Amino acid sequence: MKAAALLLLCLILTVPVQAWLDRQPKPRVPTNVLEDETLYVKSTRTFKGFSLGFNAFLADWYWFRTIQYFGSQVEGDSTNWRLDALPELLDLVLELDPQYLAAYRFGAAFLPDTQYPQTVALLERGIRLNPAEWRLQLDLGYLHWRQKRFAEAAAAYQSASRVPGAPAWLSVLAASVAAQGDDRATAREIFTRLYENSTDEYVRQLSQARLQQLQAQTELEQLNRLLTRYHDQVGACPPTLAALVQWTLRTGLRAELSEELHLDEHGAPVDPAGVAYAYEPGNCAAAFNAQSSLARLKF
Amino acid sequence: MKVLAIALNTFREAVRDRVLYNLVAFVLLLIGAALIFSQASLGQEARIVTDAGLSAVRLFGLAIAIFIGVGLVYKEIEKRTVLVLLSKPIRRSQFILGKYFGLCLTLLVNTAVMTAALTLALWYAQSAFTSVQARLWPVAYLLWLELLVMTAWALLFSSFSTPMLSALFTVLLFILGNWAADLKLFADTASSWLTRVLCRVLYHVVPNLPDFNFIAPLAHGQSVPPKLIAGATVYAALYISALLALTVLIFERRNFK
Repeated sequence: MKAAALLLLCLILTVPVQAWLDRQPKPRVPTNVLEDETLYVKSTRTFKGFSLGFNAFLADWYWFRTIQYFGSQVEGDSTNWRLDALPELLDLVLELDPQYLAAYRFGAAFLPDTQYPQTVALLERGIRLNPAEWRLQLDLGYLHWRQKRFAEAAAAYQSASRVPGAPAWLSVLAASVAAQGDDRATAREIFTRLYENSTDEYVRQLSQARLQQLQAQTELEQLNRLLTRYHDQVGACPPTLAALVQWTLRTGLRAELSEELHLDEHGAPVDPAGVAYAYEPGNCAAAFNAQSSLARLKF
Repeated sequence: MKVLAIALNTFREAVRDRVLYNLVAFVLLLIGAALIFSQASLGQEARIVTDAGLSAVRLFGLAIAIFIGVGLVYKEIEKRTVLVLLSKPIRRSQFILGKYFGLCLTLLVNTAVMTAALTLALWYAQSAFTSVQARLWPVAYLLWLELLVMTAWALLFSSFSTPMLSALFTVLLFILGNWAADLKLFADTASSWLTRVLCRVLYHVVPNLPDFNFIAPLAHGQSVPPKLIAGATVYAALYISALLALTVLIFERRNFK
């Protein structure tokens, strides 16, 4: 009985002690060495050789580390990510398991623009080893499109459309990109398809954010056109954007604004992230609010 | 007094075990090797010797805890010497505690010897006594606490299982214990309530080994705050007491016939 009581008491007491320990600041390793320690292994082929048949498990393990590395880098300021170790981490995962599709797709979405050739090489390797996976070619097309290489993007989408089981809209997308690569409607189409076809939550969130940003750009263009008309007709700029919206209702010009445009409780237009658009009455100009996440979106 | 007598006897037996000498010798060799290879490290000798040395202390200390710990009770049961012992006026709880403290003493001596060797190696690498050598000892103390926790698990398993299974379970717990932070993360962020509850329970049941591991901060010139040392000591004391209580509970119900 005494042993049982001691067991219970000690186990229960470890909970608050551990909670106290968790709250204490720990000595931290400087972040600029995190990349070296994250990688640990430099030669992926040697590492695979030493995996002794556990390469699938090790691929999972390093995939987990990749996610943790990504998470630790993007905590906080979303505009100043340093992902220098990401290509090598992904390379390690893929050397251990070349069919690790999530790693290819993650790299396509999050390797910075300065690593364009490496990302293309990563995806082309994935396509070579997984020819039936049209989504990788979709990602390659997106990558080329972001770099404004519309011909290569269209070729990638066209190639994806020829994979058995690929959806029909891929060839339509290929044609749109070839003809109007820089068009906002094409961009909307690309991000919509990415959002619908990705199983990765990060990619879906990114695609959704980009769609919202495109919507906001359209709404800003509409607001600025109406501001110009207001100025031409009234001879002055409206005091607020809410006043502009009221004016469009009185003059029957509400249809010039998108049906998806939302208004806050004061009648002022807000962006898809719910933040009111910024307005400079002196310049008669509406713009992204600096507080909005859509204004800070880099990708 | 009975507990002390059993503890000292256990210590003497452990010291006679050849496995112990082999492991300690290996650690000393590793420290020597780290000294040699660190000379190619472009000024990082202290860091490499500290990293490699403390990691070796930790890893081989764990090996000692497992190899000797899993046989502590099992051997006595196998050879039937436990019947002789328990026929004396010795309670089963005293037997368990004596065995445990004996191995604690063994680990203390080994950790101290290995840490002393590491201190000398650092002195050689840095050509002087520096604060790193002094900061080494609190980190080594915490590693010793970690080994005591793992020894308690090894002893628990050895009270009802075979040495091979006990070793396997102890190693698995060591791995799980190093993932305690991830368990907490899952407990905080999992979408399913069942997963959250299970992870929370596991988090408190498995030993929280990162509480005892400050090798990386030491390698970067940082010291362990005294309140963390105190907190880890209290946690280890409570956790080990719980494990020993459980071991005693199981052992008291064992029938050796």
